[in-house]
Amino acid sequence: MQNAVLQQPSAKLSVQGLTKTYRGKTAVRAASFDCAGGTITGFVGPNGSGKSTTLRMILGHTRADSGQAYFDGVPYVDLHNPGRTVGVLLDASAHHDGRTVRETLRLAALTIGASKARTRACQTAVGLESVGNKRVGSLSLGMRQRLGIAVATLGAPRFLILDEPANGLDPEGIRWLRQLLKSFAATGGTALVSSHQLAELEMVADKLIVIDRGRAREQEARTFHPAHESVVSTENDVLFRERLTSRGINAHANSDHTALLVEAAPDIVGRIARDSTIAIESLTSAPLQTLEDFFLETTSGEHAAGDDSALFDLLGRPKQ
Amino acid sequence: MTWLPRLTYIELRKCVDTKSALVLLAVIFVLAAGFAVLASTGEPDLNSFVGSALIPLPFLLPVISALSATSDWSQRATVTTFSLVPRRSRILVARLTATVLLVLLLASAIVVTTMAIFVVMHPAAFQATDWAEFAKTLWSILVLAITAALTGVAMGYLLLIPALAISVTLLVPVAYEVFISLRFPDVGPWISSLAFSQWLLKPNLDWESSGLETVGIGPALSSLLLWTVLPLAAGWVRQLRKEVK
Repeated sequence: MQNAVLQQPSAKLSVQGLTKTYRGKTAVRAASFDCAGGTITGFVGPNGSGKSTTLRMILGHTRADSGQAYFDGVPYVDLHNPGRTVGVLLDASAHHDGRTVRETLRLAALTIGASKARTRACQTAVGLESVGNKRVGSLSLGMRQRLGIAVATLGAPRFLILDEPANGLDPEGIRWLRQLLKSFAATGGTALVSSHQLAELEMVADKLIVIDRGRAREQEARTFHPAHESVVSTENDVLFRERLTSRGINAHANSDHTALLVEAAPDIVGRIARDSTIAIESLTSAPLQTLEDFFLETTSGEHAAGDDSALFDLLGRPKQ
Repeated sequence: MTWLPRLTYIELRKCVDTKSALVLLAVIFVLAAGFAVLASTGEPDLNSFVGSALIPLPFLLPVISALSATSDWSQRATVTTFSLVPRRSRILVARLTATVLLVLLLASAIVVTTMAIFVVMHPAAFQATDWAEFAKTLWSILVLAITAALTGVAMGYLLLIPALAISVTLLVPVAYEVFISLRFPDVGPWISSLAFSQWLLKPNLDWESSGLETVGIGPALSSLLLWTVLPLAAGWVRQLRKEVK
């Protein structure tokens, strides 16, 4: 078994059919995906979709009803010294409030056998060198995240499992985290990072796992092309749509019927308008869909808020 | 088993590396020594002097052990602890060992300090100490410390909430004395939370208790099982299965 592990060319996390049911309600349904060495995998899903439960099952914090996760073929709980293989940040508040920053790091270092020099280096790298004597309870959320990242990186792991690491980080910290992840992947490391900051994730992730109501599926990152290519409004949209359809081009009105969304490039749309002698009022190429658009279209959060008017009813309508 | 000394050291360190833990230890230390000084009478004698320091310990030591058994859970530090050591039993063994060590260290510190105070206050009486009697006093302190550590940890492991674990550990013996032993004199001795430590103080081979002073082996074992082994085992299983978040 040990030899088989050593022969693996790169760090690979393999999640196989993880399932968890709470009192008859399925929180995670057969989640399966692989994270290859040298890649960053984004893990996204609405609140209550089963994201954190999946991460906890991967680490053995929650017992899976069925399924297993393997780090280079070994389940987490069977790793010899897990802190040396997998860096974990699940909860920025997972430290005793009364301990100092230095003592918190020292305890983790003692557990995994990291040297004092390594501990100091990690503390400095996350920018906490000046607050070593402060109690964890007095730190801001962003500072706690930095402490959590320092603990996760202490053992120089080949895997990183980070749950919402960017929460509470300042812009400088977010940029730093992005660089950390990129250089980690560049040296062959495997990262699984959950986040609600989709624009941020879009910048670093090689692949996405989207989990929605307990069902996980894979999605290539940065391929969020919308079906339509052009947005056009003309003096007579209804007529123009007929002209387009008769040429075999799909088009439909946008949500407030002010423009047509056309599945053809703007130059083609323009020529058809000229040939049909219909005047164009505006013609643009459709903006690429962002991860956020994609996310909102493809997931259905269990705890999704009501529409805007419900919000206004809570806080009072804005004055015109 | 190389993990045991390392993890025990870490758990011991976690008992004393916060300000609140140090304050609590200091308070207990001062209270115990203070009791000795206040209780000292006109005719000084090392045994009764050190013995007086014992009086507050049955109430104070379980607080320490229940706290050290629960603080990781109450502070959500378990997420970090069990991430680094996912074989939870190792942590549970180390924490139990560390707690017993901590309580023993504290008790030793109290004994040494009260002895030193006695030597300074009554150098003449120190010479006249009955050392065989003193050994008995030390033994009773040892018994008290270990049983307090074990019950505190057992309740802590089972309940996982510091305030709850501390109050149950402290209230059960009192409730026993006030209600059970008076209402049900036949069953009482068998479910007393103190029977085991009472037997250790006066070991004998009788199965049943005789009178109020001497506790038999039967009630002693029943007490050990009921108040230490069972909650410890149930708490152990609970912590192995519990979702860490």
